[in-house]
Amino acid sequence: MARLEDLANSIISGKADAAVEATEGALADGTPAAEILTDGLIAGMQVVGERFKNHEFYVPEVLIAARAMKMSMAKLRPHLVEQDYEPVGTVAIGTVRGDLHDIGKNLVAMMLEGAGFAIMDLGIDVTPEQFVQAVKDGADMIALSALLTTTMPAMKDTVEALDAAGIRDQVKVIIGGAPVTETYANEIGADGYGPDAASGAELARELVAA
Amino acid sequence: MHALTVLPDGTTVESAEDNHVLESLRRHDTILTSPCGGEGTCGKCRIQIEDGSANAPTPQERSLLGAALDEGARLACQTMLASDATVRIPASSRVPNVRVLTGGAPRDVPFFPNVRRRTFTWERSSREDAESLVDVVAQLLDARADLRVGLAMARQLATVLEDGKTYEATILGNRLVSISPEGADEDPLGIALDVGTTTVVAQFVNLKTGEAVGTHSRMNDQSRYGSDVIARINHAATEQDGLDELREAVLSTIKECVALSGVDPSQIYEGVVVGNTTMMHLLAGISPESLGQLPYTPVMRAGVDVPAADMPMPFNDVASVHLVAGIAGYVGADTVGAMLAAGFDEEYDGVRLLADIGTNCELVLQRGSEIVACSTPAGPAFEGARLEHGMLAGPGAIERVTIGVTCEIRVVGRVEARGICGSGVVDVTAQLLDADVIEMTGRMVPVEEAPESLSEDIRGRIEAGEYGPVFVLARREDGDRVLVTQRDIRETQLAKAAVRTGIDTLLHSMDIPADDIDELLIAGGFGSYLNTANARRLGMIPDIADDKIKYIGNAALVGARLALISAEMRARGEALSRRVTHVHVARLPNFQDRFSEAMLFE
Repeated sequence: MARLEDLANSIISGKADAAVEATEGALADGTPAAEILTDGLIAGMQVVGERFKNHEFYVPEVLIAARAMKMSMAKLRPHLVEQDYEPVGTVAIGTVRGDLHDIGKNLVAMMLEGAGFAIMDLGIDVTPEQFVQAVKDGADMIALSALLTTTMPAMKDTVEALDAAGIRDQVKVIIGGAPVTETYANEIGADGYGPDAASGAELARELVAA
Repeated sequence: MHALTVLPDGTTVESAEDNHVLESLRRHDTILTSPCGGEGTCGKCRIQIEDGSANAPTPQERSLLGAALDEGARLACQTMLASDATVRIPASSRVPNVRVLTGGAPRDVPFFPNVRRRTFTWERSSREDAESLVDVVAQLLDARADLRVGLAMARQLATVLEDGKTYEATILGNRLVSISPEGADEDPLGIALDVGTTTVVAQFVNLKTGEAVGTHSRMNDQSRYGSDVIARINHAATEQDGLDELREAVLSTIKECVALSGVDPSQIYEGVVVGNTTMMHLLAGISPESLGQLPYTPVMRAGVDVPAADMPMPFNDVASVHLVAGIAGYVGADTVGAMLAAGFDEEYDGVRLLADIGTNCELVLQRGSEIVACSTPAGPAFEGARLEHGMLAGPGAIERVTIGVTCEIRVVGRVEARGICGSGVVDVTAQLLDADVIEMTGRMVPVEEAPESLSEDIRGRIEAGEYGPVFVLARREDGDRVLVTQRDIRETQLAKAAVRTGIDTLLHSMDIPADDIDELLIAGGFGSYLNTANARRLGMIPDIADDKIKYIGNAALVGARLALISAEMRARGEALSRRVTHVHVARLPNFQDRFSEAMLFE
């Protein structure tokens, strides 16, 4: 499908107008919304993620691409709902208590959205209780971000709060952020760690497939 | 409110009815000498009323001025105007100014250190109708009425003083701390300390003359516990004895600075310290844990005086240490120091911006007497850290890059290039942008995408690296190369976006267009070598003409020195710290969008 390829390329190069046009064109052609999502938007964001991982793309490029994706998504969403499309999962994402760094967290949210997840963005300075509530509200994965070694302990507190609430087994926990490591993820009993935004999205997909 | 005309200057200032003339003059930067602290006991702030009326003379004035009262003599600290007046101030009543080089315009500040050395001649006759020996000494010294004499000093007074001999007394604040025969002691010294996360700088100042007599710096020994403040906070908060270890590390660094200077520690009577809020907490032995978490509230921000022996700092046993006040968790006493050096304690006719650029970039914007400040995490790129071949601006660092047909570099110390420092990375990024080797998004193009117009030499410098292309700045004799990598460009993007977002946020908070900036003052290590055209090209600073940009070097240290030699400047620093409006940049809505947009090279 040349049109979906165009859509993917428009996302990659961050051309919002062209992306919206390609989305509308594909819908007019009668392409199923799920296919436009998978082969257009998700395919495009996947390339963005790879390039980000390889340091070819940086924060501004990802943001421009995500803007194009979001505008296309706005066109697509009513059709997805109409066609009973189910997202691959619902992720509640937030920067942990005591921390206000949200650029990294937002990048991961964009990548997750670009990987077909529904996103509940809880924002910054999110308490363990808020994460617990999100799980009760239907999130099947939570993604925790911390940028400071001084706020990392809030990740552990959040996992413990899920345990205490007796809902740890209902949810996957993924963590990331500059000071965070695989070892730390294991230590606190998280389900996985993503060293960058694209890897985080890949990890999330693997976890829901498992 | 009365108009007070000051002679011989001829200036007119306002004086409120319930303000003493001493205070009214001080508010208008005319500082009279008043060692007694305005108590009316020393008689030093004598003025002559030439015209106008004032309150009735006080008993203190009657005893100190006597018949001179009838000829219009008064003490400024006792006089309140009852009408508009003209007052003559004899030169002997003024605090002499001392000129301090600030890196920018030199400042003339009233020379009145907290440590004073005075000479007096002991005469048995002067004891006759005194209440105590201490009173006599206080009077001989023109000291404050509340002069305190400790037990050790009292013991000396009881036995040491000999009739007809001349002594030197050292007064610290309102404490008499030593008496010795004239000429026996060296001049008292003070030490201005800038305690940085990376480097500690100590400047020794003669407190009799106000002159700096030497400056020594050492790497902050805390570096072994991590290079940035977050690592230090974490160490203090999570390791057993972590706080003590950090405190001891910085104290031992200060001790090394004193040892390097060769100064006899007993000569040092006072230290004045500036530093970022984390460093100030660690030095004071206060846990900085609250600075590691939202909302980054410091435990303490007011200035404090601590006996040096309690720190402990290696000074005279009786010495005192003044910790300068800070503003917020990430706008510290060092910023207050820089503001003093740059004259932000005075009203400014226009708009000016102070940028202290380091791993954390502090920004202060002033319009008239209104001041806002913020900090923004620039990251270590401008200090050369975390770059592939980054280094501080020492020998071997590439500090200038010009790219045309060839690539010209200038190396600090004119030696073979070893790495690149902050100013070099700003240059190379800007120059590669102009050569279309770096795109607007910050992407470096591989050689096959490079523009045809590039010369052979420049083209040959673009190579494939581990993560995207690299640009070869220098090939060394030993075969090593000095590179700028794609990742370095990304670090630079982050740093410049942080600085710019901070500047724009402050301007926005006061609704000032960037065009209205009359003066940009750049402080910090790399300021003096920054190529402003290239900084503008990156979008790191707004479009401000070169003639409006000044480099003021290590302004924080200059501020510490000002507070050391002038009680007035110290008080102003304290007042400034409370007057500044702090803007918490990262908590503003849209911060992320603005920050991300600022990463682009427009």
